[in-house]
Amino acid sequence: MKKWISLVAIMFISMTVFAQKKLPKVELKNLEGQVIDVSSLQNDGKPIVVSFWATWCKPCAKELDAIMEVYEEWQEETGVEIYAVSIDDSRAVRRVGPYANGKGWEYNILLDTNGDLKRALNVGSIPHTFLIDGEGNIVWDHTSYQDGDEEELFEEIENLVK
Amino acid sequence: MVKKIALASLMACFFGIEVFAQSNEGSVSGNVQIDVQSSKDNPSIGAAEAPEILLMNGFGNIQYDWKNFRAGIRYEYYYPPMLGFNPNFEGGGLTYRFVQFKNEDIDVTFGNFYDQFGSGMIFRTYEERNLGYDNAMEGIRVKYKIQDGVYLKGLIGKQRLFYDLGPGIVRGLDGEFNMNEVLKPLKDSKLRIDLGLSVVSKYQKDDGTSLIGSGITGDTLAILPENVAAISARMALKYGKFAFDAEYVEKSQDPSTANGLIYKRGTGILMNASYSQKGFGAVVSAKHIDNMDFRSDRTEAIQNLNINYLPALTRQHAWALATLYPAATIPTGEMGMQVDINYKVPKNSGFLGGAFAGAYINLGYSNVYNIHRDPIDGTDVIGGAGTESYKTDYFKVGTDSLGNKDKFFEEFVFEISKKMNKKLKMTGSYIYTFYNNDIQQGTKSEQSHIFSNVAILEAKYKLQKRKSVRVEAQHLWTKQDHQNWVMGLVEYTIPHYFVAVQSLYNYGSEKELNYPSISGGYTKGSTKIQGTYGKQRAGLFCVGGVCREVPAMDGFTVTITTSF
Repeated sequence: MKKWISLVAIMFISMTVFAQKKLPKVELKNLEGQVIDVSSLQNDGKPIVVSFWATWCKPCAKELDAIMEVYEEWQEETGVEIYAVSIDDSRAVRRVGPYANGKGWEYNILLDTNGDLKRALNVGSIPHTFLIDGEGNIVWDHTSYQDGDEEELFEEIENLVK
Repeated sequence: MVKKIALASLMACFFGIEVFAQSNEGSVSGNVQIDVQSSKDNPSIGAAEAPEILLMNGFGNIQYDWKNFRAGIRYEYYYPPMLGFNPNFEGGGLTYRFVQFKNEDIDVTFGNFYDQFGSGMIFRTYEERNLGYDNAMEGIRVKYKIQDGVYLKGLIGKQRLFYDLGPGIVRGLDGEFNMNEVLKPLKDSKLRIDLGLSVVSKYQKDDGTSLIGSGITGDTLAILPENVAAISARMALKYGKFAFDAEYVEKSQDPSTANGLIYKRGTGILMNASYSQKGFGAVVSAKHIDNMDFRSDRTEAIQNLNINYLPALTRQHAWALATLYPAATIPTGEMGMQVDINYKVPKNSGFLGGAFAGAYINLGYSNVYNIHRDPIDGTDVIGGAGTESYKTDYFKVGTDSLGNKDKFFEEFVFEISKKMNKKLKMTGSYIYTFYNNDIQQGTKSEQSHIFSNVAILEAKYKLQKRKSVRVEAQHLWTKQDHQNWVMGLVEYTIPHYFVAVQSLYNYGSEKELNYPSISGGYTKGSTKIQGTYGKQRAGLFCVGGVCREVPAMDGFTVTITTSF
């Protein structure tokens, strides 16, 4: 047990040494069935948003619906690209494409059926949204969604492209 | 223990080296969740007697990433476990620890891991922390990319059972082939073809004790297969807006407590077809599951040591009253289908005077029946323990003793949501459910067949910038079980804070139940603190912008989550 405690202590110490976090090397499939390495996602130096959701998560749908209404403006102003990562398991994963399409979402949809990216990014409950700058650093993240939270996200995106 | 120390020192080495090397590439991250609960003994609302004034669950994950390495641990504690969690969780420990190396072609994990082959009907390990579900593997996993489009996975290990490992060894091999990358002529084809093949085997010694309590005793001791193998094949086709996929799995003789010690082979079929384009999406699914309970201990039951996952083809609801009668997969045998249609009415639609312009509409239907069972040989009796029991017919639906179709579950869902103006958004939903209580609960009850109708109305009104109020009203009608329910919720949110008051009220039956509660919370970045006081029904609880599974309680719960 003592060994573990010292190990945890070492990890906490090293945490203060390194801060910059990047998207981890995790492979996910898109709706076309192609394998995408998340660590290689890039948007020509412009920001990327990674948002975790699921077909059974109402607050997630509210967040992505709300962003969809202003997505065009966001893209024009900042060039931001959104990746909506579904954590639906095999029970609902076949619903993801038709659901997102039925909602009229224009996001890049990724399928994290096994929860690999969710675990690598320490996501507990969803929705959970990450903002990644042009160099691939995770600069901001936020859990849960309340009405208007997307405005805070947009302020953060704007800060990156100033 | 030796294994633990070895792993610990290996990990300590990695971290140690990194700290002193002062590399700027490594990163440490993690998350923490702490739940504190205090609940009065109140059997009438399903809140079990708590062993203590304070119940606490918690866990923390820490992981370290450096170049191609990743390592992580999770500490969990339950002092004592919250209501609804298996008392075997009492205590604490490092339940998850792994070291992983990964480059372009190879990915090796030592320690604990979660994985799945195909849809999971042959193999899936996963965790649902808030439900107390975790069947993680402990062992070794190797993933290897032979060439673009050819992926192999091999794994071996034992599965987590509370703070121990199950007795069975689980071994698996999976190959996935993207034919468009493998076959040159298909490279630019619009038709995409993916194929997959898996083999999973488990080994568990036949130590004779496994049969105690099964009804087979003394000289009639059966010979239990120590090795049980399963194979599966799957394909996925995609052509433009159309997609189709299918998976077939077969399992060798695996007499177990869960299947009543029968020697029949198990099979599973799952098929999905979909069409979708912007503004419209539809999926049709079908499945047939026969004797597919698969565990790394043949004597285990409920949530323990499942090797595979049999997806329920029913809706996963997020409305409180719609979760009262949820369908669970019956692993011994069920067949069913599901249809799901999503449509966004165009903004300039003139239908009904434009009343539905811009609305989102969802329609869903699903049913689940028993599978058909024929006696094996001439006799008209389905065999019991120690026999092959029965044979099935994929195209016939199972019947009950009266010759009627033996229905386990049926559901119809209609939902519409529309933004009425800049401030008001409305959602309405209607759900019809047929629920076979005897099958779903596994017990005989007076009223086995429960028919229910649920109506839901939600309104969200924006008071001013980032201040809004949300109201939910739900009603469930049924003449069976506990009869009618009504539910109301008011939630008020301002940046970072929310407060919600809700009540569930049950009426019509002999004892009326009321579940009033008040919740509040604060969120900043990835940190959230949330509390609920009052009476709470077990089920999915959605307030403050997140949904989570909660147990029944009469008292308070405080949850703190953060990640870094």
